[in-house]
Amino acid sequence: MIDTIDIDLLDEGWRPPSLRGEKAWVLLRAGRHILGEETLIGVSPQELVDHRARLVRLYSTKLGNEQQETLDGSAVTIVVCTRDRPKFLEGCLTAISRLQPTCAEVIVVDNAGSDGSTLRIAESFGATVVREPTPGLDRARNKGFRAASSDVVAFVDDDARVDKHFAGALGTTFGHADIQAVTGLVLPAELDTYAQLAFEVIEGGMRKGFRCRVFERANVGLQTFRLGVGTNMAFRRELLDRLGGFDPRFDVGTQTKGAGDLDMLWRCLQDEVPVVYEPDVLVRHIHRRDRRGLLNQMRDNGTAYAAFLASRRTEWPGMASSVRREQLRWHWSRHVLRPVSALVTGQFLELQMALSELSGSRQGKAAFLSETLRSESR
Amino acid sequence: MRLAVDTAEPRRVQRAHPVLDDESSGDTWHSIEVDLRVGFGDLPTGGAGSLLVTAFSGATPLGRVLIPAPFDPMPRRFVEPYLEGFAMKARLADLHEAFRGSDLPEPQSATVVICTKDRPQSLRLCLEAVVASDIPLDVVVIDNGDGDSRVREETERAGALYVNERVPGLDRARNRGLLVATAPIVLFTDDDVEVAPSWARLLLAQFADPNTVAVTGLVLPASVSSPIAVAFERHATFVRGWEGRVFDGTRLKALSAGDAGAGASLAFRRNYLTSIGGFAEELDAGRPTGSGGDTYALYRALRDGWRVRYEPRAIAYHKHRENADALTEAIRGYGRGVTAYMAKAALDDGDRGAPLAVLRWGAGRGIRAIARSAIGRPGAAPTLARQEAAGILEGLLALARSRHQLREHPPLLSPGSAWEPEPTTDNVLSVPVGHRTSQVAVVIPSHGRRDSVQALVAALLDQEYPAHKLEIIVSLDGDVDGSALALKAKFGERIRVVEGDRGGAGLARNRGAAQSRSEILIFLDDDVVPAHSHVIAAHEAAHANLGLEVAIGGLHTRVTGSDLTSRMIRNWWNDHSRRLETLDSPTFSDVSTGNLSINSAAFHRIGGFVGLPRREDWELGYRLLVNGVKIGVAVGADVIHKTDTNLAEALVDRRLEGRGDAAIVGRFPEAYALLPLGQWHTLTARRLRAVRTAINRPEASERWASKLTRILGWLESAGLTDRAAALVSLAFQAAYWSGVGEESGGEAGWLALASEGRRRTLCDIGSPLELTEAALFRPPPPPIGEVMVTFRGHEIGAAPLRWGGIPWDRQRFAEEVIRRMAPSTFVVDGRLRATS
Repeated sequence: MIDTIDIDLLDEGWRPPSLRGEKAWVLLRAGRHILGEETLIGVSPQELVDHRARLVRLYSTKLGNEQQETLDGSAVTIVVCTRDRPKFLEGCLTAISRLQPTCAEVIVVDNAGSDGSTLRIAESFGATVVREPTPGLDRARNKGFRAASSDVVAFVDDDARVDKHFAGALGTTFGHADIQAVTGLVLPAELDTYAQLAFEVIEGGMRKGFRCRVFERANVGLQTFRLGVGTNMAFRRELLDRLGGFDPRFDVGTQTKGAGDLDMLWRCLQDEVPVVYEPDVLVRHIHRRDRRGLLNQMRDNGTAYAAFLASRRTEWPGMASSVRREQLRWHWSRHVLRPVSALVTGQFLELQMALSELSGSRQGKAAFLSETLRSESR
Repeated sequence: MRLAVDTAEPRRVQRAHPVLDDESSGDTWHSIEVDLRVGFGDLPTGGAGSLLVTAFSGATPLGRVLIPAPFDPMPRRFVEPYLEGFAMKARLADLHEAFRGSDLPEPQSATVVICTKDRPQSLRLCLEAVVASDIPLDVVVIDNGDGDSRVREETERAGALYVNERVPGLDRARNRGLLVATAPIVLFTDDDVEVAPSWARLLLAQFADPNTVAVTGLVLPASVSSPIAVAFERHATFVRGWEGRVFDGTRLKALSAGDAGAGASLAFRRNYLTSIGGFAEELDAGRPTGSGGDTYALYRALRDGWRVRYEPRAIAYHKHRENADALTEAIRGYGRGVTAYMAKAALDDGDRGAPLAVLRWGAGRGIRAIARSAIGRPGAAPTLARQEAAGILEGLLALARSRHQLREHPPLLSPGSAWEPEPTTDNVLSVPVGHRTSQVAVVIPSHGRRDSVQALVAALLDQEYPAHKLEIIVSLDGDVDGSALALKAKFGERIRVVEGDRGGAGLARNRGAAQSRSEILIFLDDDVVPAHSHVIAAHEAAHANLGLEVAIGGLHTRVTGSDLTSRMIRNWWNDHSRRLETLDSPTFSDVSTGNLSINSAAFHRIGGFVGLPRREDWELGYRLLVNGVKIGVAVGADVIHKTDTNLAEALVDRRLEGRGDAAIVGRFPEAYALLPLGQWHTLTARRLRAVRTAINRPEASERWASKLTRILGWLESAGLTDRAAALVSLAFQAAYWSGVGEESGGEAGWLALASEGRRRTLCDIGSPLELTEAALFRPPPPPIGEVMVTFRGHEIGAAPLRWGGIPWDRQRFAEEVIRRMAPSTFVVDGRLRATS
């Protein structure tokens, strides 16, 4: 069990939290700016205080430069899509209610919900509720952003916990008129079980680094997974309208199990819209708690990426050779090299994860084709 | 070139120019300079797709990075991650600046030579920039056209000298400029270049080193806003790195001279350039060869074993070609120039490595170009690569054609005798002269050099010093060639000759000193001659005026012979005398008995020399320091030391030095860390194995010495000077360590000695000296043990003084402190790396 804690280098009144164990995963931040992370082993509260003092000294030159800016989240609508997970939704909305500054509105999309719990919880937090009876995350996202009234729409999942500066950071980033698509940092909300730690350490989690970056078509290619993940992405409303929203054949709730975010980000780049990765836009994600859940997640990821590649190949002219290259690279590095190295190092779980992903990838193309047929028949 | 371009796939854009048939054509960049010390805000992109950001810390360029820039202006936050890597370098640059103190150039005057042809507009900008330099310069414009009146007008407007050279050829024009120039340093730049105000000053400052004959600077593109300029910058950038570098034939193959710099920003010692006959007139622009003249001149400098320095702080901005034809022609010309200059090296200088180098260079470029375009890397520009390849192939023919055309124009300059650094001895009139009242004895130990000792004695008798105050004592260290008789016959009673058995120069000096009743003893070696007639007076002045008890005189060495070993030894000696000139407080390893004066009371008090075959001078110096005797430099007391050496002799010297150092440590264990043998604890495992062999089997290294000479001959004739030099240093090291082994009685004895030395040296850590920024470089001699280094009030840590090297050098020490200690002290990376 590893505690996840924040150390804020700017907050003079920072107190060490009570620790459950001896290990702590620490997020270092200076106010709303995220600096980095580190793992501490065998720490006591007093050591944490000393550690923070040392970091403040080390960073003194950098910290001095941070000018105090007023943040504004009033242009941001947060869309939360959920399906019968009232516990998760409650946590998610609690985090949103603690935003400083707050966002313009919160829209909860009840996707094929079987009872009224979602509605009840959402209303208790004062969120707008929209219903989407057909299962499918991308359908829900489309419903959500079309109901939004403000300029910027941010999508988070119900198992995500937004940081308190989330809306402010997004508002600042979208303050630049040319920026239309932003992804952010996703860190673990808890590291209580081995499966969660394994997802973070072995798989690398959902993080894309602590450096701000701009992605263009020329330097990404097909690998849109490098840009960000769907649990923390935001677009201008007009961009989503122009691109026709998310592709309903993708993502959770359909047979493709995911890739709605990959597809959306890829189409942004194709449309010559650069995607900005901003680590200050922070969301914490509750990873699957048990091994079965973790392996299912890996299998779904495999299916999703294979479906994504299959769709580029069948629907986008001139992409065939790039897709073939990318498939080759993907299978070689993830499903050949990785199992072999896992075998050599004796990492049984990693081997299982790689094989799950491989087994999922075999269904990707079929899943995509069947979803295409289904959407055409509708 | 440092271009961190994050590109997985090339950008697909319409073909903009037939030349740029690769997929990145049509790219434009926007070049911008950022001073990290000042900070920066959002950066304007000028509508270009990428930003070429050059990072500076103050005036020091740190590097550059190409950043995709879809937004205009590009927010600072997206630029910062790319510049994070420079933060560390900026920090180091600041520290360097603080530690370096004032590196003001010596007052040198310089002539700037600008060669131009039919480009008055561009020449005007060039001249305006040169005239705006922060030091006064003579400017000469050589018009290589047919006397365009506008060129003359522009020249006169800038107050420069106009000379017309009608025979076409850039090198011809440069040589004309060289003839017109009067200053000791000549700076060359092109008419399509604009220099920064500090350009000339910074280039000149590098000439403080007497071994340096050429200095090159950083050449940045003036603008990269057109696709053609981008293609030029990608394919043939002039940037040769962001760190100052020193090249000589032992570190860079002479045939890689192109890596040292280019003619757009180039400075030469005029006398050196004249001595090799100036630039090669059949090369460079205006001739069929197209380029290569600057590279050939640098090649000559490197091949002769002199140094070429690269100073990136001296910045010039080059306007790249703006149209596609000019670009292809320039690239093809570079290809031709490389083959042509290498062919000239092979034909005229008999460089046997040249044909191989052409092949290696050409094939390397070709393979890289093919590979780049195969994997679709941006900037591959196959057409340009083809043009360059064609140029390489036709280079030989171009050289022949160029020579044929020039047969009616004899070269302006013809090669003269080999250049030597100008004697750095002071003007005789400015030599300090004391009261000339002290009784002075000159003691000359001599062994088997009948002729040179006679010449020295004759010169000493001509010194301007009262004859009754001057004794000359020649102390023979075993008379093998009848020196005694010859000296007595020639000089009779005017000198005294002391005879004794062979026991080393130190003991001979003691015998000579025992015969004298003078207040001051001057020790001269028997192979030196005084540089002028006031040498003895200058020594006396150092004692009388400065109150020194020991004064070290200048020893300017002339090494005859041009083989690799001689060149390496020559450079070592030149550095050594340069060091003495700039020294504030000498330490024991600066004491060199070739030219030294000692107060005779102090000499006798500490017991004179000991009987070591070598390093008796360091040993004496150490005892002097330990006894608190004041050591200084005798200004103006210069002698010239002519020596002729070969590898075998040099190896014997190294071996004797090893023995001497081991003997010093035997006597004074605390000197351990300051001697070359103190490196024992920091040797790499591989080196350690070799060193242990040398210690245990001294005879093995002796056997090798004879074979080595032959191997070196082969290597040198194959143009592999750098390998040969590495081999020589290895041999020197082996000889040194076998000497150490001999003296200390094998590895067991040496280990005992080393551990004792180590223990005694470490004792001083208990009492670290608090050195502030200002006092950092004034360690009390002798520099033993460690010091606590502080910077701006912050403790950085303890640094062993041996980082300053042997002989101890404050600059080197500072650089080592920065290099080794800064990384663990400052956060480098955006990713937190907490240092404990």
